[in-house]
Amino acid sequence: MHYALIAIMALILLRCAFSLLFSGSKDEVWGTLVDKKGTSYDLTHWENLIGRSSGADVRLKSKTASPVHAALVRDNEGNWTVSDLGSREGTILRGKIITKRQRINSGDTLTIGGTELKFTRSTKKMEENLEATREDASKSTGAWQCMMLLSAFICILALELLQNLEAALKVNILFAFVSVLILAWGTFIMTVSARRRGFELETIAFLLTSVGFAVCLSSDAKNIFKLGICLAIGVVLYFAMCWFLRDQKRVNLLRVPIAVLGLVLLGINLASASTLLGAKNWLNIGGVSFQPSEIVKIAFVFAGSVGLERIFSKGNVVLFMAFSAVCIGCLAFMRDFGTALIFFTVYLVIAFMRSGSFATVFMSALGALLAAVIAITARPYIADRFAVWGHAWEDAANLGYQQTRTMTAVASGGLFGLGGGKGWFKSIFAADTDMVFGVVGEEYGFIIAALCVLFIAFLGFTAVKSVKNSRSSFYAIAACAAASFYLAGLILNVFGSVDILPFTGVTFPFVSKGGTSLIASWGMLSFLKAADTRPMASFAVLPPGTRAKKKRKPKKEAPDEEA
Amino acid sequence: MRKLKYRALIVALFSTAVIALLGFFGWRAYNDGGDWAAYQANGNIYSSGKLTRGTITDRDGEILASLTESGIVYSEDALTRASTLHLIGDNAGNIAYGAYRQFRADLTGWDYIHGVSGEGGSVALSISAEAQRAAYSALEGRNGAVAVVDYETGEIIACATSPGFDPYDMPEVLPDGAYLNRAISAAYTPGSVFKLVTMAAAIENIPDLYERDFHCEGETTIGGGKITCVAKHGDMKIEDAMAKSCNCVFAALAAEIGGETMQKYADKFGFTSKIDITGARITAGRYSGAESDDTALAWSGAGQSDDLIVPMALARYCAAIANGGEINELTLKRGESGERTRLLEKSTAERLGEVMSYTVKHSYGEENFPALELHAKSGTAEVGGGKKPNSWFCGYIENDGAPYAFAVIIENGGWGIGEAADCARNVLNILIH
Repeated sequence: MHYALIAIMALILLRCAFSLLFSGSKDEVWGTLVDKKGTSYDLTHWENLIGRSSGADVRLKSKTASPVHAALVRDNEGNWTVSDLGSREGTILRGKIITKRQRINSGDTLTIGGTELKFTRSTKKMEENLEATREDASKSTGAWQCMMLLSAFICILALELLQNLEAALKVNILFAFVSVLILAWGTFIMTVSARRRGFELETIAFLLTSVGFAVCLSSDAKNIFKLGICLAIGVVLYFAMCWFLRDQKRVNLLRVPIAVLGLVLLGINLASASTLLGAKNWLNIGGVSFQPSEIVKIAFVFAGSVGLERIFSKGNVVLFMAFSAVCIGCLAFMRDFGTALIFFTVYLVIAFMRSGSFATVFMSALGALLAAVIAITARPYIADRFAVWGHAWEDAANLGYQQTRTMTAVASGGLFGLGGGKGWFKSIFAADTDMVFGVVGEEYGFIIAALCVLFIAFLGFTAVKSVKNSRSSFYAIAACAAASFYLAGLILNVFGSVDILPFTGVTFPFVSKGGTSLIASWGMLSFLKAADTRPMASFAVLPPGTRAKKKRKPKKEAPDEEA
Repeated sequence: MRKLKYRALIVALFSTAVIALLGFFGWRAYNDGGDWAAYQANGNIYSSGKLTRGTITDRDGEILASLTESGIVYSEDALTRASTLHLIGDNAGNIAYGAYRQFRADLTGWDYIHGVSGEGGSVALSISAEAQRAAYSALEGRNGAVAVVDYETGEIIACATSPGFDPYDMPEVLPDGAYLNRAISAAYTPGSVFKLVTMAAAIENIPDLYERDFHCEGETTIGGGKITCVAKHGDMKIEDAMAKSCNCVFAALAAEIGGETMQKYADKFGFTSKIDITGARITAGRYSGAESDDTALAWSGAGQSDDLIVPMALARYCAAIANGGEINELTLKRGESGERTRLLEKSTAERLGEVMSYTVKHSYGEENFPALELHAKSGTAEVGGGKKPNSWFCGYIENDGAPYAFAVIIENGGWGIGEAADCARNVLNILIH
């Protein structure tokens, strides 16, 4: 059976790689700038950087243009503004030097570094026409193929567990996989009925979730019901966030409140936390326990992701630095050092993307190192974890307990596994969360475990790829930050549990048993989805030609007709 | 967005790192997975810390034991069970080294592709079940041990200890030390067999050793203490001193060589430290010539004083003598020799071999060892306390296809050339056929 599972996973991975990574789809065009010689520059993003720099979206050869000169920004309603990014010569709109952000209309002339540029924005009609040609030219996303492969995968997994696990667990198994199937088909139908074609990310997420469900059934079948409900919540959250992310104005408005809410949540957690596994990172509300730090990840992405103008304003990272420091400090105080490390890694990614400077990142890393040294000296048990790192076998009965057993489990499974539910490792405490790589490796084999890892790595590449075409830097940074959360968690979970890195006890996105973690993993998927600008691919992206509803009054739309 | 496009590569780097780490882990699992899977915590193949799969055979494929869910299942033959018990190990875990534990990585049947999903594996011990039975029988229930080593390969052919017991028919009261494998885990006063060590030091440190004339009056005084022989050996050359096992000569040689140098040789030959061999560890003996006064040093050269020696370590030394001074470190696993180790200079080994052959010819009588091309030395080690001396016999044979070195001890067996030599002869005669 595992051959079939491997084949399906490989096919899905190839299918997704083909459509997400290697589809060179045509750019979206939102407007144009034409200079006097007739050279036309397409504005392919909602945020366009104009300047001499090789990183500029509109690259001017003029020597008097600053490397980073001005930003041309479109909003949801199709209105454009221009702002100067602290250039030497200044930016001239309609003959006047601008001092603050200013509205720019079709036909306006913009002078930058001596170059006169005539601005034209795409009309609704143009956007729609272009979208139609983009759609024609774009490759198939294989949504149906993905859905079919996913369904087969889930069914095979269910059959295997029905065969291997005791008969009393039949209900649990059926509940688990029927709910995954229903939710997957529900998501699929939602996507199709919204005329969207991209289903790669959802396929991967459902696939990993079902592997996680299989692990839970094997180790702790009675908890599957809770996990099923959490998956439903996660999927709903995913759609809600996709919808929310469609409107950048809304996002910009609520970005800060969400970040503050995250801090409050951490604060409550810190104040009233119950201790579990040495880490005080659990909240218990009405008998339902959950891990706020997982949800705060979403707030962290909102806090860290910003628009273009902000990126090029001075000291843009400072506030976020402070925010991160508080978050990470809280986590460290809760003794959740693994999660603190993950947050810190994501912070580094965001800080680098926003500043582009290794110096900023280096300084932060230095500061963190100092803090880590203090933490290690203050808390001897962390020092122990580091002491055993790389020497787990020398203390297999004690500090190397989890790592050595994980390695034993993975080795026992060989390449193809002992069969779902047939392993021994699941009975070890926290095997289905912190050491889930061991359970998957033992029961399903190293290849399937490795494919699960590769899927997450793939999400990383997807985020990187999406940056090129994403409409705004908010979406670009958010996608990369979300992917970094996945990657950092994955790296610490997998390689910490096999003694390649220090063991910290964090979760494998989607796979580790844990309701909050599952919900957060699903929620964060929306950030990746919102950066997917392939034609009609993403539920989280409004197609060109649509305008934000509120402002869709005829009066406001009138300028569209002018060109 | 183009700027961010490049900055985003940091995430790609991250993803690449994941793939690289995964590859690194896969490579590690390929190399070490067998050991990981063999870890005793592995509930797939262990039950309360005991491996539940695998077969242990002798060097010729005779099945000695199988590991099952209900523990170790031994051979159907009672003598085989009793004679190989200490090599296989017992269910209660009282025996120190046992193949069931030592070779668990082979017994799990692990391979990289299938993990432990297949059948258990098997391990072939280096010992010959036939030699093992012969050795155990030849010990006749007396306290003692027989160690036989293939000096060309370092494989241990026999490693028998007595008293033992049949695990399927355990006596209610076990004799003292019944769990102890005396061949590797017990150290005894060596007596005259230690003269082979003193001789090696003398060959390399006393240039005119072979020209010298020695004289024995039956006793002599060194450092104010008395050294005695069983008889007045009179005038002799070094070869006869060995053949007659003259205490006075070897005591004087040890005193002349000096404690530091004697110690160096005892250490180098492995008599004073633990020796790791494949599948077990030989316990440490003792030699303290470096710290002894002159009389004790003199006696130590004749294998008395506080000298202690382990039978397998002695067999190892004899193997080095037989093999030109160099051996493969010993192993209990067929075909798996350890590192090459040089204990003696080639010329020293040859001279020791000659003097051992001379001793057989002129003292023990070749006719007493028909069909054996024997080089040997006996030992009669005084143990005090009114007990009979320990009886030692060690050496090697050069018969075609039987390159065996050996050491036999029988506790309180009396004369070395008596009990221990008889025992060795019985075992060697089985081995050459």
